[in-house]
Order: sequence, then C-alpha cells, then structure tokens
Amino acid sequence: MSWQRVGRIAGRIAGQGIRAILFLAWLCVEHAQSEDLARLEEQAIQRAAASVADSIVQIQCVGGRRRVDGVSLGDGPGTGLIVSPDGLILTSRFHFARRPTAILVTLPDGERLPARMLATDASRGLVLLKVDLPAATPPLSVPKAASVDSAQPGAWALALGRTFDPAEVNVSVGVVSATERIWGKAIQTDAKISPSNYGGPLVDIHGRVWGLLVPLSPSRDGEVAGAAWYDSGIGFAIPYETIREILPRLARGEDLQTGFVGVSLVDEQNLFGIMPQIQLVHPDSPAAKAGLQKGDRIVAVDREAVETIAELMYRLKPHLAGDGVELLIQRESAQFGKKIIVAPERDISWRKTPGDAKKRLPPGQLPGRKKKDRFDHL
Amino acid sequence: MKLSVQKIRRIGFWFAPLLLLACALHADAGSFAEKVNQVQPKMVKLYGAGGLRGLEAYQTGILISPDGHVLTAWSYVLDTEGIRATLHDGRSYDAEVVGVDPWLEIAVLKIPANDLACFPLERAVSGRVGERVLAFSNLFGVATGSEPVSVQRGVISAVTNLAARRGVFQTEYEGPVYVLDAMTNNPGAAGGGLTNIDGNLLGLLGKELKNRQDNTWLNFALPVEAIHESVAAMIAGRPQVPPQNRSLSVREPVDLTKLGLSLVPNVVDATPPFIDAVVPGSPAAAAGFVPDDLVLFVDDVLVQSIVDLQRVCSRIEGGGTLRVLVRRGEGLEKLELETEIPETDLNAPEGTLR
Repeated sequence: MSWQRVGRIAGRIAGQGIRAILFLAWLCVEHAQSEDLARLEEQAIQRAAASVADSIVQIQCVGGRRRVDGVSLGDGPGTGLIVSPDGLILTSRFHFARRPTAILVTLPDGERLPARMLATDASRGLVLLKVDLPAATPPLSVPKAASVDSAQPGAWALALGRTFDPAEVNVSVGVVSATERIWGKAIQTDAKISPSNYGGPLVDIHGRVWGLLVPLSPSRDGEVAGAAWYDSGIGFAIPYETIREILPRLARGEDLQTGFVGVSLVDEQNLFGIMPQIQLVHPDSPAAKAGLQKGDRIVAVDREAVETIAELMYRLKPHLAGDGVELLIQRESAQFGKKIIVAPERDISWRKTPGDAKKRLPPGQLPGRKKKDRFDHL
Repeated sequence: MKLSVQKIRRIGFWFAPLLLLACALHADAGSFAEKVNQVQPKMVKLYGAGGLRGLEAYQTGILISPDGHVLTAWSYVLDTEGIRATLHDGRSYDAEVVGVDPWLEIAVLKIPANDLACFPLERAVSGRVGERVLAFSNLFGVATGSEPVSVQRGVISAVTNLAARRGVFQTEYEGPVYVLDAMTNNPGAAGGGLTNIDGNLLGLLGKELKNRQDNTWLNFALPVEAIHESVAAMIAGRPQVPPQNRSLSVREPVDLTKLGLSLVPNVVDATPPFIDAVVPGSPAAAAGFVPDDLVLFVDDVLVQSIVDLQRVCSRIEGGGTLRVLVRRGEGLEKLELETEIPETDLNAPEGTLR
C-alpha cells in the first residue's frame, strides 16, 4: 500500500468525520429550534387571544325557560362579539333559546349594560344585540377580519369566549377542519366549541376574525340544534364575510330566515344517489308560483349543475328568504330556466307527501330520521 | 501514518453511537416525546373499589416523593383495604391511605418503594391562559397492562375560581382551577397530572364534573399551589383544617322581607326576581328600590330567579352594605342596601310586609 493511497483514504475518512461533526452540530441547532417552535406557538396563541379580547363581551340572561327542544339550558353566561363601535354585538341564538326576561352585556372593561335584541338570523343561528353606550364611553373595539380564503384546512384556529371569568377570555385551540360546511354556510374547526364560546369569534393565529362560533346541525334547524356536538371536535363558525353582508339588514331590525322553494323531492332521504326530482309542489310556494310541476327535475341552481339532492341542498340552503334563485328545470325533453324568490318556511302551505301517508305520520309531522330532521322539503 | 488509520477507525467507532443518539434526539424534536418520557415514571395507575353500576374501579395518581407518596383524587376508588398502585414500568405495590382532605377532595397514598422519580410539589409551576399543556391519566382504563398511562395535549382555556360560581358545580371544592380545552376529565382520569410543555407539574386532574351553568362537562385540574399546603399537612400527619371562608358560618343571613322588600309571587320555576312592593321608610326604600325593579346582581353574583336570590342572600351575613344592580325600565341602577334590620321592624308581626 503506497503512502499516497493511505493518505487519500485517511483524508476521506477524516472528511467524513468533519462532516459528521457538522451534521451533529446541525442536529443540535435544529433540536433547539423545534423546542423554541413549541414556545413560539404558545406565545402566538396568547398574543392572538389578547389582540382580539377587547372585542369580546360577556352576555348574561335572566329568566326564561329551562328546557328547549329536549336540551337542558343552564343559566351560564354567553359570549358576544362587538361588530360596531357604537354598540352592536353579534352573538349566537343559542343563548336566547330560553326567552330571557333581561339581557345584560359586560364590556371588556367590566362595564355592565342592558342590551336589547335587534334581530335574528335563523338560517345561521345569529342574534344581533344593541347596547346604548353612556355618553362618556369611548367607541368599542371592532376586531380585524381575516379573509375566508385564508381559512385553509390545517391552519391554526382559536376559539374564544368570555364565560368563565369576565376579566379574561377563555381559549380553545385547534385547526380549521374544513370550509363551506353545513350546506356551504360555515367554517368547521376541531377547537372545542361549546356554550362556553358560542357567540365568540374563531380567529387565526394573528387574532383576526374568521367567523362567529355557533352550534349548527346539517339535518336540523332550531335554536339549540347542533349543541349536542359540543366539545366533540366538530364545531362551526359563520364566516365574517357572510356576517358583513347581513349585518346592515339585522341592524335595521330585519329577521332573516332560510329561503324555501316549496317542493318535496322523490326519495328525499337519498342524498347522494339520485337526481333531484320534484314529487310534490306545495301550495303558495315560490315553486307553485313559478309553475313547477311534479316530475320536473332540477338540473342546475344559479348556473351550477346539480346531480344529487346533496348538491342541490348545498346550492339552495345558504339562500335567505327573499333571495332570487335561478333554477334550470328539465321537463321531459325540454330544459328551461326559472327565476324564483325563495320564501320563509311559514309562508308555504306544506302538504303531506305520498311518502308521509304510507308512514301514517300524524298531521304536521314530516318524515325524517328524527322528528325534526329536514332533508325532506326544500 | 499506519497509526492514523487505526485512530480514524476508532473515531468512526465512537461516532456511530453518537450519531445514533443524535438521530434519536432528532426524532424527538418537534414533538413532546422527550418530556412525556420524563413524566411517565412519575405517574401511577391506581386500582381499588368499584366495578358496580358503571363505577370504574380505577383512577390515576402522581408520585410526589422518592419514598412513594402518591397524590390522587379522593373518591370511592379509595374506599377499600386493597388499593393497588402500578408504576409505568409495570412494578406493582399495595398502597395505603396516608391522609384525605375532604374539602379539596384529594388524598395522599403511600407505596413501599424507594428512589422513585417524582414531582416534588414545592417545585411545581403555575400556568396561564393559552399555555400549552400535557395531561397524563389512565382515562377509561385504556392502559390495561403494565404500560404507562395515556397522554393528551391541549391548552389552558381559563383560570377561574369555582368559589365565584358557588352552587354551579357539584363539588365541595371552591378554589381556583385550570379549565382545559382537552377532554381530560373522564372515568379513571381523576388524580392524573397536568404539566406544561417542559414537563413541569401544574396541577392534578379533577373528577368528572358537570358545569350546571351550561350543562356541559368540565375539563379541569386543581393547581398545585391550591393543594400544596394540605398535601404537606397530610404527609406530616397534621389534622386537616376546614377552609376559613366557608358559607356554613353565616349566623344571621340577609332577610330581604325584613328589610322592606317584597318580591312578586314565585309561581313558576325560575320566576325572575321582580320587586312587587317596597315598605315606606324601610332600608329598602332608603336604598331607592321601587316596585317593578328587576334584581340582576347581588354583590356581583348574578341572580336568575327568586329562588336564586334567596339562596344568595342566605349566604351573606346581615349587617353590612349589599350592592344590588337592578334593571329599571331600559336602564340599570346601582343601589346600596343597608342590611342592618331596624329595631322597630324586628317587632313587626310576621307577614305584614308581604
């Protein structure tokens, strides 16, 4: 073995050694960094909560019912979000299911004020409150909004409330699970959503508001629908974009409701298997006024094709009563468009469908998986 | 130079395990695995009484001394002679109860072992809202064999005082708690440990508790600083002293009727506390109460109903000044009610104020 060759091998091995040392050093740095990362995340969470805390109020109700739709309601405080500097507060309808005698709002600075209910959005489970600020009160802090596009599944999401201690917000941390849930109406999160933060905001890691936390159910309407999923890792928030659109109407005292076409569909429980076909057009409904008939197929809504009942629900359910909706109808071989104005549920004379008769349901009760499940009329 | 080749080989020989170690460290990085491994030897699984009517016969405990003192929740599981404690590595011992604090609902046990890894309570830290935490417990008895307990992660949602919400929780305990956003308080989890991400002890996981304010289950831990003193007393064999500010000691509670206030008839469940009448010249009249006022707060406690108002007043010693917030019309009024009962009214026949 020549000296030259030995030298070459030695050099190579020594080189490896140096590389190994460098690698080790890099690992140590990296290890330290990941420890820091956990801490940085913690700091970011605390900072985000603090930055929006001034817009989160506590709501207390006195008097009213104890049980609503089979859910026992507590006396506990709720949370609300300031949406205007002059005292408009948006919150969840859940807190008022009991029909309270009096509503009290505690501002972040501890000031207690009586509040009155301006309007309700039954479609999205929201209530708008108003407090009259005493003359000397500085304008209230309206939170910064984050665009709904930034609510990417997997992004950190913080759910905030002000229910345990009026002086401090309570925090639950998770991620955005999905967007356009509950027939396109809500952001979904795995942060723990419960009566202790219904009415509070869902915010991003910078404390910017994505939406307002409410209980929601894909199959049921009602003030307490969806509350059974509390703390389950399935929680919902109404996007701030939607809130901005409807806020002027709520502020005018206009109650908002889900819009209905007024039809029952063939095999309406089969959400994903069949094309939506009309089984019954209910009297006094927008569908009746537009001349829709039994046997008509709905093939598109607002120029978006729908192939299943689920897709139809996804296009229709976000609409509020009074909204214009464009349906594309297939009748035998002809296709034609119909513009209708969807109506509130109570304006339609709902008739029993042939399916109801078979099941011998008592009058007034519509078929469904549970008493109030509503996949059955649109 | 022949030597140098050997030397280099030797260096390589020493490097290999170092590299492996580094890789192991690296695998831990970005997770809490390392801290979890440090905490697990300090947790024990406890098995005792139960097994009937859906009552689980197990819970969790924390080693707090190298000599085998175990801190846990006081529960029916301990109501037996044969409590068994299993360590993270499967070692198992009979445990005896050293002391019980019925007010904090905690207990200290002792197992016959030495040189154990433990959490000395005096080195515990305190947590704040938004702090990331790890919870260690044998929830649902998932750790059935000799393996360590289960780990959950979450954040501290709130630091709140149960005393401020008297009657809201079904517990004797009225002190501060950490409210957690993880589903920690499940069957078998009571007595488990809550640590921060550095693996330092923050608190003791409590029992399953329903929050009567909103009918939801509460996930919480007792902060170490709230129980430290009591634990030290138990270990030292000193008797437990009930906490001072107990509501039981009210001798002459506030009586609104005697102060000249009468409320509307309590006809339905949760009748709101509206004022029906105010006796002229009474302390209530002097405070400025008028009929139709709705009582909302008494000394910063929200009252929901007439029954609630009576309950709150029964816990307040008469003689002082009561701060009452009422709704009058669309506004709020802050009133101060002197609760000293005037001499003349003491002799008034029962019922004349109604």
